[in-house]
Amino acid sequence: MIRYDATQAAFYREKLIKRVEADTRDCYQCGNCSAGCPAAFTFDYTPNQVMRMLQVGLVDKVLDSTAVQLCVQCLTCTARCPREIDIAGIFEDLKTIATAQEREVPEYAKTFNKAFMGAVARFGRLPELYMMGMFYLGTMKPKMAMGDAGLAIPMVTKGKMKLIPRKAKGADEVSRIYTKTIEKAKAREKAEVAGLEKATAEAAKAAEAAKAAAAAGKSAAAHGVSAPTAESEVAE
Amino acid sequence: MSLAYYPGCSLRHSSAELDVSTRKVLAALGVEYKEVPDWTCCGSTPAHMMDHLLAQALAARNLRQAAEVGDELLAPCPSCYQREKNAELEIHKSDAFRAEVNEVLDKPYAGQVKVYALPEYLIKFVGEEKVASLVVTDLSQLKVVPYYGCLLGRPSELTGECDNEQPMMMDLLLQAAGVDVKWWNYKTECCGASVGMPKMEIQRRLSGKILEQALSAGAEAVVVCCPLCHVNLDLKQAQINSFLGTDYRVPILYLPQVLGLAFGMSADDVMLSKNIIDPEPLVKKAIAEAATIRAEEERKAAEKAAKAAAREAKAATAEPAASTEAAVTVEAASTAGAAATGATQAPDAEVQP
Repeated sequence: MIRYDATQAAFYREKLIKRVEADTRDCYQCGNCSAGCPAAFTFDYTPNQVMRMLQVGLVDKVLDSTAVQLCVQCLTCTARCPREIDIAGIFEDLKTIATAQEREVPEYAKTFNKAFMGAVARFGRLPELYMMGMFYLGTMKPKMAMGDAGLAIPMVTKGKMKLIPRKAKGADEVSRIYTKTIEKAKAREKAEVAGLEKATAEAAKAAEAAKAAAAAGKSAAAHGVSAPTAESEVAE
Repeated sequence: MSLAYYPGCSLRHSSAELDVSTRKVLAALGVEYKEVPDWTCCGSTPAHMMDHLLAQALAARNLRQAAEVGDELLAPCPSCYQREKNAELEIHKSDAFRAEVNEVLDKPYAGQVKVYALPEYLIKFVGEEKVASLVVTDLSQLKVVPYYGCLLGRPSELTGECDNEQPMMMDLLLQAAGVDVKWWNYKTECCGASVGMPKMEIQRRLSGKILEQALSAGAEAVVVCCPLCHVNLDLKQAQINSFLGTDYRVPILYLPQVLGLAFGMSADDVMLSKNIIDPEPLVKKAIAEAATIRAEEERKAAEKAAKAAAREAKAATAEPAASTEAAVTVEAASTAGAAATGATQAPDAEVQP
């Protein structure tokens, strides 16, 4: 059984309209995004499935999906959407929401982002070898590192990689930008999630009341199309 | 107003050849520029996946630094270009957002810097005619496909390209440089980008498809602008081969490397030795083939000219005799050679020099 959640759906719909200027309700499930997506073969949910899940409020599942984290941001879906929905923008925003909520996302996405941004915040400019080292340390998977270790040899012999990173002049400002913006995002997300939880609790209460009313024999009106805040259950 | 040049992190080391060849091509084309003072990373892939404001602020810091040089910024790396362009559009559109960004910067950005990608800048401000006028090396036998990747073509409203699926700027520049540009449908297919690091299968399959399509389009090399595409197609080509069981050996060239070669620069000038799959044999072969074809054409032209001259000479000698002796056999004419008298009968007859 899949539990649809109208409160979550409405909440994230508003949020995405505000942040990406994209309305999940515009999607009519043509599947063009999934047909063109080059990375969808590795996703747990295809892009059009993600759009449907957002419409019905399965946001937690989406935020923890591999689909969101493995999206390569090539923008093919956005370019081909007949409803002109910025699907890649939605995926990008979901990644940032997952970051702000400090979720443990799959596919080492967090490890990669942290290794990369950490290196940039420390040196101002990206030290590639250092970043790769930090990433593979973060994954704790020596096998993965071995797969790419062979790449380092031509890179070093061809003079394409510096072994010792140096700090660029603007590095301190970059570091401050990184800390300030991430802290701000976390605080904002915390407040918003608290608001959402409150709304969900209220909706549950309203649903309970409606159920009680229905049980009291006050007709079926409270059951079906009662209110967008009510939680409805749909059997799969 | 001068042009600010933003190399970006990749161009300092891993794609030094893109940096060096771009600077040399700009110099050859008479474009003056100054490097952005104290530039830092644009945020690249991870920043905009972590937080929107973080991404825009990192890019805005560079716009602020670029404003010290001028109101135009050239970012040869398409990834840097997209990040900087995105920030430019959003910040210039909304003063409220500019204020939000400035809040996290050390010093505010108040400028109006416009960001350009390399092909876009060359098409808009230099022009194909200028490019064509500088060509000295014949690259007509260098068969290539231009590979734009995701960031130079999409979205076309941002990049200024004519179409999301079939961008044209690299095609036009390469054609102007006299290169044999093949038509293909994989111009904007994704190579796997940086997701190749956490999930290598994506990179292996997508980049492998691009190489396969390039070869079946009749190309012998792929021309790119993006350092990350270059890493995925060139540095990781051996890994693609072992993953897919293929044996590709396709040189991956940077656009300014090809332009530089066409302008008469040497392999060292454009740093061909930095490419992993050595493009030099292919380039040498193409130049030699073009020279052979040119020599053959010259030989044919000389032959044609000799023939025409012979005909004229014959016509001159035949004129007085024409009325008296008309029935001279063709055999006699050919054995008699160029000085034959009865050639008036057969003006098209082959004459051996």
